[in-house]
Amino acid sequence: MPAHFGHLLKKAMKTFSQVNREKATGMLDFELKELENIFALLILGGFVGLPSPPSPIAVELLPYMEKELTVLLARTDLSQDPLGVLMGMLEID
Amino acid sequence: MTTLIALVALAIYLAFYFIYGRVIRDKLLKSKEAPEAPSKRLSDGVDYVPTSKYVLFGHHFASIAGAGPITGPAMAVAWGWLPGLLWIWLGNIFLGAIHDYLALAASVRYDGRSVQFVAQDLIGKKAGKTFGWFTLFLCILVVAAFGDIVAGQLAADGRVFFAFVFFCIAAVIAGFAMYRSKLGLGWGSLIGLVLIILAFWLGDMLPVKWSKDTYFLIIFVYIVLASTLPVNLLLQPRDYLSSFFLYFGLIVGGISALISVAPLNSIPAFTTFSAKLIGPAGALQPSPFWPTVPLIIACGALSGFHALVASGTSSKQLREEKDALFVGYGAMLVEGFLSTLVIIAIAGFGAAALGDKLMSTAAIPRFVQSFAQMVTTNLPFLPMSFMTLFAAVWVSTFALTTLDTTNRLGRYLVQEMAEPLKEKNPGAFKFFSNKWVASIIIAFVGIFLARSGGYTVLWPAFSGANQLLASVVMLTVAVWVKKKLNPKYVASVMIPAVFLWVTVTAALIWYEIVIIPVFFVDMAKTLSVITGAVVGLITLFMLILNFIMISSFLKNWKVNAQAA
Amino acid sequence: MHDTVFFLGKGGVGKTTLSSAFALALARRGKNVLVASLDPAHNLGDALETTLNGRPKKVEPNLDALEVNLAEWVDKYLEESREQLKANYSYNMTLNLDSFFSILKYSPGTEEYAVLWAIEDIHCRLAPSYDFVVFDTPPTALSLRFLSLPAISGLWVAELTKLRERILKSRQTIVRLNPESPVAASCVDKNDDKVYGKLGSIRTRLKALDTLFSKHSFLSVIVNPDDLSVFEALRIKEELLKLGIPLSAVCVNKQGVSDAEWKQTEELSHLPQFVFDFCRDGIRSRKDLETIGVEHLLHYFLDKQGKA
Repeated sequence: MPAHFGHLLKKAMKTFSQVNREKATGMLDFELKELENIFALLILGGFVGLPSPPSPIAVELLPYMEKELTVLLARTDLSQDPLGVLMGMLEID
Repeated sequence: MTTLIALVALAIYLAFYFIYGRVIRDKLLKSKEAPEAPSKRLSDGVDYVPTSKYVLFGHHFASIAGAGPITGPAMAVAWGWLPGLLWIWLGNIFLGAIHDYLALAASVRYDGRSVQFVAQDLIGKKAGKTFGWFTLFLCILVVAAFGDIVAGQLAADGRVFFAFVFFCIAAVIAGFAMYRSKLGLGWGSLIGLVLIILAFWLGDMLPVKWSKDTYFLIIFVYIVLASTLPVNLLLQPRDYLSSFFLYFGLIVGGISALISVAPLNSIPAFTTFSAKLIGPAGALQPSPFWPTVPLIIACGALSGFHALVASGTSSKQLREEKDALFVGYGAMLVEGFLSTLVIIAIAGFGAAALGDKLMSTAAIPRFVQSFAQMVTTNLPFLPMSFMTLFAAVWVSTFALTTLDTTNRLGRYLVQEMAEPLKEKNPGAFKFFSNKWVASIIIAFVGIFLARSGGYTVLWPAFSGANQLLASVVMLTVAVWVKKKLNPKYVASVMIPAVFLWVTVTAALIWYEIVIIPVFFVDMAKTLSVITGAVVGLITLFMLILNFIMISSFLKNWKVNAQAA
Repeated sequence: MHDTVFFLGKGGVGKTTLSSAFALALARRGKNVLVASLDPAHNLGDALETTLNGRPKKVEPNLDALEVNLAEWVDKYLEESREQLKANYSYNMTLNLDSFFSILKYSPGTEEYAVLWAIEDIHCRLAPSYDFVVFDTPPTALSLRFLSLPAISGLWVAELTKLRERILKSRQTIVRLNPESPVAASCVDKNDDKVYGKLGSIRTRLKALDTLFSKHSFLSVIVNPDDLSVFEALRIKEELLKLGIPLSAVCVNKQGVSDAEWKQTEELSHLPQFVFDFCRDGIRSRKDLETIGVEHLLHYFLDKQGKA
């Protein structure tokens, strides 16, 4: 019984610690995704008519930007419907 | 007696969680047979990341807990401690927690889209638009309500100002420690905690005696400036550190309530059906418990905000749909428990703290004193002077954070709502999309209303908007259950939804015809007239949107009945 | 050391003629010279009475010549990137790449980049075997574009690099505090980040070319005794000034082509002027090239080399 309780306590502490970690980085995380989104847009935007560096530079960087492309697509999705995520992140209530 | 009430609260919440909640999960939602959750199906390592339900619960609860669940109940004791308590219990389990739970579940079934999107899909574009407008008004009204509340608290206890200022400094320093240096979370938290204690001590040493007006000005400047700072400087670390306030408050409050056996005799169980609760300061009007209770108790029982929060990141991270019971329904019940503690504290210890002045003290100081009294009586190693400062800083911090973040959100909302102007009046659109303009408009209107209206008239307006939002969500969920789930169980959502809509609409109409005219009694008092006009117009606009939305809903409902 | 020579000017002023005449005279003086044409019109071979391609061809004992094939360079450049993409991306993203690349061929910016890499190739790989490299440039628009590329792209790359550093730092902060964050998968050190490394290598290449143009080149603009070519020359001078690339000389070609009065414009007068007479019989062979008197320019140029 005590062993089980100790295990439970450890799990509770771990969860508590994880919640705190997420709380401490939540807004930073949101900001990071925006930076990655902007970075991807700056480089690849040329292909959809936005001002951008000369396309050869974009082409040279493209092979290494898989993560950024994913974020770009995820963010495009979010920009259509951001209210929920913003409310959650901004701690309004 | 307090112990009894606390235990009854726990019993009711737990019982309904395990019985009613599970029925909803297994019969209505049929979560066990539901499609795979979007966090797994659409997993992208960006927003869709399956997360443990315990971690999500903590995160979700921390997001929805604020100064709201404290303010409402603290005001509601004017009706006696029983009516408010009943609303917190019954309203929560049948309305609030269901609202949060089903909004979360609907969002999960809609691939993590926000409840605004779901409303648009099921009811129509107008419903989607009403979300935007209601939220914008909520932002202005929350600045107004909390602005007055915080100014009042700061004026009531001169120690709070510097305690808060040094708390912000502590947050910035802890932020440096955590984000700029190599020190980890543990060290950063420790530094933060030590500095918080230091901040309290310094606040205690440096009390100030300033007028409420001075505080209004300070708060105005604070809102505009704070919302422009980079997020990792103040907002992120302060947000993190303030969650410790919540944990501490909940724990010592909960323990105190459970171990004390004080009778609840600081206020009668039931005073009168129409207590004088709502209205401009000095001219409170008799407010009938039904329908005006949702104008007072919002977040502890039901809050439209929560649906947006739930359908934000929580729905995208839920590992399995059945976790929604724990995260959605569960978190709201815990918030209900927090509100229960507020009532217990005031009803059991208010007299000991404030004596005759209990009902004449403003709502938050009333809570602060009573809560401190409750803790210090049952846990004597925590002195009264510390507990009052703690409770005051706790509430003020959450309120001030809300003021800051609401301003940030408001900038986005003003631009969204001004979108139709882009074609018709590009100059005006450009004006409103300027972030400074949006920021100052919200802060200025908010603080102006706070100063000339007072929380007794603004909190109900805010609460009304919040409850209207919640009723749109409930109706949306009802349509969802009918169209996409199991029409057999529609009643379990429809009945509370209809009850809520009728109550809130009646409450706001009552507000418009009973409270607003009070502002115009003396036409010579221009400030009063302007305030009345602004608040009256906002409320009127919301009512109109409400009726537009309900007609959309009814049309939609009928169409479906024919198709079925 | 200004061992690279560029002849710029409006179309038709005599760039190919003068650059080949200059290269020829320089070679006959005993210097090892490579003359390269960047002009898609490929007139250099005609001027030297031989067919040229992308590899240096011995035209005289001390003179090699080549014509840069831009289309080939574009293909070569895109091929490298295509291979890189295939190697790095997950399988399902490569399915539609081929058609994508054929569109890229026509994308704005690709042509001037191709010229730039061709120049880089010549400068790094071939130039060490010669004393001097003489470039016959394409029409002004393209020339100005490739000359300005290192500076402009340099700015873009500098800003992107800064943003990238910020992103990497933010990732590290988040992962340090929350090791379970999904960001952990992409959290690497600056030196291990492929994008950062690529940005760095692009920056290095551009910087080298920028230095080549602004510090190690002799740029001469050619005008004819007419207003149009002078206006164009002025435009060239302005643009180059903004880029920090100094003009070294002005060549007035086809002097005497008309009887009209002509005086050199004020803004160009302060540069060393070199006049070349109009050849009534035209320039059709290598022998004709020899008749163009380039001694004054040659003398000035070699003199400057000696001083540097």
